[in-house]
Amino acid sequence: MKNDVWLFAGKMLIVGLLFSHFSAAVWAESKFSYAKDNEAVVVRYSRTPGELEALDSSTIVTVYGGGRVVIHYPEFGARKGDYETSLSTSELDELVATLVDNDVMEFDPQTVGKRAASTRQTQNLKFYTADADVSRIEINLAQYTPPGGATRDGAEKAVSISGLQSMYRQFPSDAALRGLATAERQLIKLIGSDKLTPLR
Amino acid sequence: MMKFEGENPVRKLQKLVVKVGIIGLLIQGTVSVSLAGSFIGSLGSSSSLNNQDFIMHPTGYAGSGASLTVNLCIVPGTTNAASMVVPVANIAARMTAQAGKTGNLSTGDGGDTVPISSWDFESVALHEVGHCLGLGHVNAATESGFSGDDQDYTKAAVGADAVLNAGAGSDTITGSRDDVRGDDVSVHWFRQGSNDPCADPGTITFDSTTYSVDGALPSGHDFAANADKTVCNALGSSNTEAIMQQGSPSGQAQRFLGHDDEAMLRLAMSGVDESQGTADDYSLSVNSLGISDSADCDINLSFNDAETGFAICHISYFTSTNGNADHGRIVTANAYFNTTAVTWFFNSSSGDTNSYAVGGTVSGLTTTGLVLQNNLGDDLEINSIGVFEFTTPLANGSTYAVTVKTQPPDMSQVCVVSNGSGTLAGADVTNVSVFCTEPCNARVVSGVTEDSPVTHEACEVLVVGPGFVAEDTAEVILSSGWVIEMVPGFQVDQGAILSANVCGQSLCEESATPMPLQCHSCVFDICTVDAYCCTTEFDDQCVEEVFSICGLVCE
Repeated sequence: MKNDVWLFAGKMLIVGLLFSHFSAAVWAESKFSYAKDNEAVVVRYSRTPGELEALDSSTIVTVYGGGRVVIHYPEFGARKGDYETSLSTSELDELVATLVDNDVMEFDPQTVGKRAASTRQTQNLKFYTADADVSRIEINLAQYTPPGGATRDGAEKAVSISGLQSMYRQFPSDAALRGLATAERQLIKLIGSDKLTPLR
Repeated sequence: MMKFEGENPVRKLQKLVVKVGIIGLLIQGTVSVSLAGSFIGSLGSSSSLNNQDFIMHPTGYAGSGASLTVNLCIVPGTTNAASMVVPVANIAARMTAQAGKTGNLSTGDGGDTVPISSWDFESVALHEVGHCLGLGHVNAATESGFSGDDQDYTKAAVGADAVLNAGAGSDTITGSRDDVRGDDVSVHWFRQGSNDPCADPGTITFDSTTYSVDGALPSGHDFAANADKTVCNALGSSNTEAIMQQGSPSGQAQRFLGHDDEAMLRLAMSGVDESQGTADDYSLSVNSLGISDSADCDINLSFNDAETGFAICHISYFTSTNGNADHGRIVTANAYFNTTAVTWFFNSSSGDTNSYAVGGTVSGLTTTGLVLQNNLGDDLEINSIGVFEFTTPLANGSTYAVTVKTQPPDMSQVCVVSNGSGTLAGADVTNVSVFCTEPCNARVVSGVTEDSPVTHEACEVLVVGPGFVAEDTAEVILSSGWVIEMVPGFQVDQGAILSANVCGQSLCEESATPMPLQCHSCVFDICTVDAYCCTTEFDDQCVEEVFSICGLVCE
């Protein structure tokens, strides 16, 4: 029986694009800024395995604008519960830039999906990941300037994708996949860090 | 003269294809792709690409009869490598045994009880290796778009309405035979006549005559049932679930195949014609090479947190076999596991303390007096063809070695054992094969020692002992570890019998006459699936089969 807390597990990719407003914005790059305080969530990442059957099956990383990072580990993990660490300003800038500069904010699942399906039909050798994890990455920006567009206040993007790393290996030229996969690897490093402080 | 290379050339070719494929950036469907079923590959990247009939075969199958060996390897240096050795060996044994078990859910075996807050590595890895061999989920699973308990509905493709339909029927059990699925198209192969994936089907032929994906369900049934534990319990098989049902809870051991898992493996083994007993069948042996990066590794297992938060199997595969688009075949397979987010339990024993019988089939015998032995004892006289079984069962995990103690009198026939040795793995051994034939001018030389070498003659069969040294060239290392200087033309059968290459013809050359069985163990393998080579002539097809069936290269 599956009790998947993330209801988007059904689709291999679901994108939500929401807008909200932030204050105290500081530009980190020309294309974006984010609220630099530890009340504002800038990036949230979760990883939900397909085969794991548990009420609490997702590892969740929440990155705040002030650099605070809170990681939730599933109940029965080798490491379980909530832990805390931090990123420096440059590390956080790099993380957000990895996502934004690779056009993750413009990520269009239908375009990638169609291109994937088209390519697959021309190839005899296929790839498949059974029990693939569903990775979800949310980005919350105070200001964002889309390519060729006007700067806007408050932009949020949520991307859910199954088998992200293996998909990126198949589509290495896709900038958004590269951004998502690279950012995920950075976040996974945090998950595996041995310099975490448990939260009560 | 033939030269036998160390690595299976089929494997070499496949690995080359993989490298070229990767360089060429061959793409998998993914983003909105749902790909799985009772066999991986039955669902395509769009509804128009679904293939209800699709069957995936393990690495190495090329569409013709073969003894397929798939090697499991633990990636050197991976976390928990040493702890994985026993579980991976057990998994290899389970997959080789292909013995479904009712009541395959437990909390552990003997002293290997899984703690309530831990996941049993062997059970989870058994599921992933199932994927890596080509099996898909029996249930809708996460890739379906369903959430929660709806993921337990039987694996299906969307129909004309382009959505999966959910309805548990009057029994309110998800995945059962009265599910209301609208126009959904099942991709789950069900046992014809019963639609019961949980019960022991008994002695049946596993192929498309007994299992169907699109045939008529039994009267009153609305959809194929899958071997989810709730469904199995309702059908009278308690604590039973297919290993290919997605979802591994903590504190549970599922280290044995269910009957449905066995059926799917054996269905695939019936080959591209989906009919057992034909030339394209294959046998499947899964070996563990332990911690190894050998070029012979087919499924690599490692802990890699970058790849998964729990456990996955990643494969590459061809979508057709010999032009048959209903049959795909795996090229590469890697299973990954997470080390941080999961508390793993590694069992240290096979867990099964039952005893199992050793037996098989005798064919070709036309006389009396043949005596077989198991582990140099438990003598069993055989006087006719048919099924045999040694009297004394052996404890699970024991090794067995079936040999000929006494050949038929006066060497009127010579009997050779195939599949005669191995390790008992939670099931009776029934595949030992004893083949008897009339040798030409045969004689047996027993008790040969280093001090009394023999001079070979055409058509003789030599039974040799330790230290035997013949007179000439080609070194061969026997399975027992003996090193023998072989006279040209001699080959090894069963590690203890040297059959003279008396036919005066090479396996690499066509001949208008049939090839005597005793010329080489490869001839036996070929003629098992292509009797023409031993009864009529050794034609070009037979020469090709030296490569495709035996994996031997002619130079």
